[in-house]
Amino acid sequence: MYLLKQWRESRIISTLAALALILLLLLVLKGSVAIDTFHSHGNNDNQGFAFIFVPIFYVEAALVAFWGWLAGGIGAGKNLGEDSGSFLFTRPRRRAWFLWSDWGYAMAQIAAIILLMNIMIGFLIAHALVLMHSPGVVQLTTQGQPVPLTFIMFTISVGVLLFAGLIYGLSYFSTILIKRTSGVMLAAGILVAYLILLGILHHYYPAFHTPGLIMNVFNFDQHSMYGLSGNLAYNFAARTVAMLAFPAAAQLILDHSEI
Amino acid sequence: MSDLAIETHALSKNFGTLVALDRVNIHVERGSIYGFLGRNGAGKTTAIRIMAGLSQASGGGARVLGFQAGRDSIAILERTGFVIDKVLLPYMTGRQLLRFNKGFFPAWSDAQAKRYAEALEIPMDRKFKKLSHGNKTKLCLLLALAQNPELLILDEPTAGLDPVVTDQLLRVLVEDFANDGRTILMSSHHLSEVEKIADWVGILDHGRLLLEARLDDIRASYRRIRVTGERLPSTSPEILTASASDGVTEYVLCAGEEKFTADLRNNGATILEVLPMNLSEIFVELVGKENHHVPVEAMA
Repeated sequence: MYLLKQWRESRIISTLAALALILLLLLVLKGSVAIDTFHSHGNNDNQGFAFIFVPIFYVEAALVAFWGWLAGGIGAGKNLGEDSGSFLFTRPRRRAWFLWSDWGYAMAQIAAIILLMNIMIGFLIAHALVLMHSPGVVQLTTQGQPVPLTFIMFTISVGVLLFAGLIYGLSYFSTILIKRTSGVMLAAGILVAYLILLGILHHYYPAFHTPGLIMNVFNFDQHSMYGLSGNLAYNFAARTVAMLAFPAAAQLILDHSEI
Repeated sequence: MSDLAIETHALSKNFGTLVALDRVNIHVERGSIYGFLGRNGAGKTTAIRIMAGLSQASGGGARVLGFQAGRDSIAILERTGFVIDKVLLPYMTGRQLLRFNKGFFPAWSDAQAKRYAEALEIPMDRKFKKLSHGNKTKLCLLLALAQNPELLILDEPTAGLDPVVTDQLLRVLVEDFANDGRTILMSSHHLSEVEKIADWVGILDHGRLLLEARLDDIRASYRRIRVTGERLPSTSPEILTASASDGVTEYVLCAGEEKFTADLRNNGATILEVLPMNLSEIFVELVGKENHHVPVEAMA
């Protein structure tokens, strides 16, 4: 029942995501052929290959977070803006039920997009690793132990999921806050303001540590990769709390709103 | 189980300094059709939104089918069909809205939905946003009826509708719903429509309940009396309004017509005419005179 509404509301952006995934699939197939050609020229640099994970992570994070930002404009906040809130909220369910259904549906879509993207990208890398005679493992640094590809892809997936979930939650929260779809613009404003604030703090108080919008899954500088970040579990836990804070705050507002 | 489908106790609602509801006590008997009357901005919609759990009371409370509004919203919403803003999900067709709504209500009836769609001539394959105003309202009512509620609460259901559609809606409400012994509360300022179907009315103005009574009792009690004479009374508990023009004094009485006219005759006055009043006339007299608040008990 409610799934029907969610699908009807999100089908345009879901179709966009599906098209993007198809495009990625085509690129993966093309890339697979390119890797075969590359390998036939005798290149076996596993460690250099590791640097590909950094752009993968940031590009994925940006794309999926953009999708999450758009998806935040859909759901109960949109209904409030269209004046259909009194219809929706006179269906016999708690307001929180509608909110967490919206959130669950969007997060399931975000997770599915990330999963499919990383399966395709992982397939491409796995193919290259087989050709380099190190199937399933990647030498991230010269000194460290090889890291299983599945673990790297899992780490990237969780990192991207938490970032996209944070952006989606902020966007959804903003639409509930101002009771209309244009709340997504408020969310964009909040993000820009946060980035400016980070820049100012970093400039005037370099020692003051402020959490970035996106977690650093990999330690690296311009020239070297230092492997996966330490305290991944702690980072994941803290960012999960941050991600859940926005829908929780949206629930608080919605529960006390006059519809 | 209480005999009342809806009961409010000193229900109050403030929006900042604006008093939208001022200690309103409503009593809607089970099985009745209750016309909830008032001008625009009188507080009718606010009261209904509180009953639906969409808004919170500033004071007092409301019980709907024995459940506390706000606290027991889910139990109320499962048993009550609300039609408030008459805006559904704009991108869905009537048929999709039926599918959407069905899952929320265990007593939902597909057969009834189909029957009402045919009876009300609603184009079910058209998106809600593409429907005419009348068809939008009819679809809202259809959804509320097909959930098989014990109680229907309708906010201005006939506002902006042509007489044919209005007649269709009222017919469905009375013949299909109320005749099963179920309860309807219908807010409106279209008094002639309410007068056709209601058996109780409550009149609200500036957030205050001016009158609540059976429609038959109101019709039997309210009289317009024209009198000539000297030293005529200008105030008494039964006088709602009194005005004099060209030597004729006109009273609007809310009760006690026989005793009042007998007293006037005993004082030498001449009764020119005693006229019954319809609901519209009573409403205008009550609401038009802001300072003439009739104690609810006078009619109960």
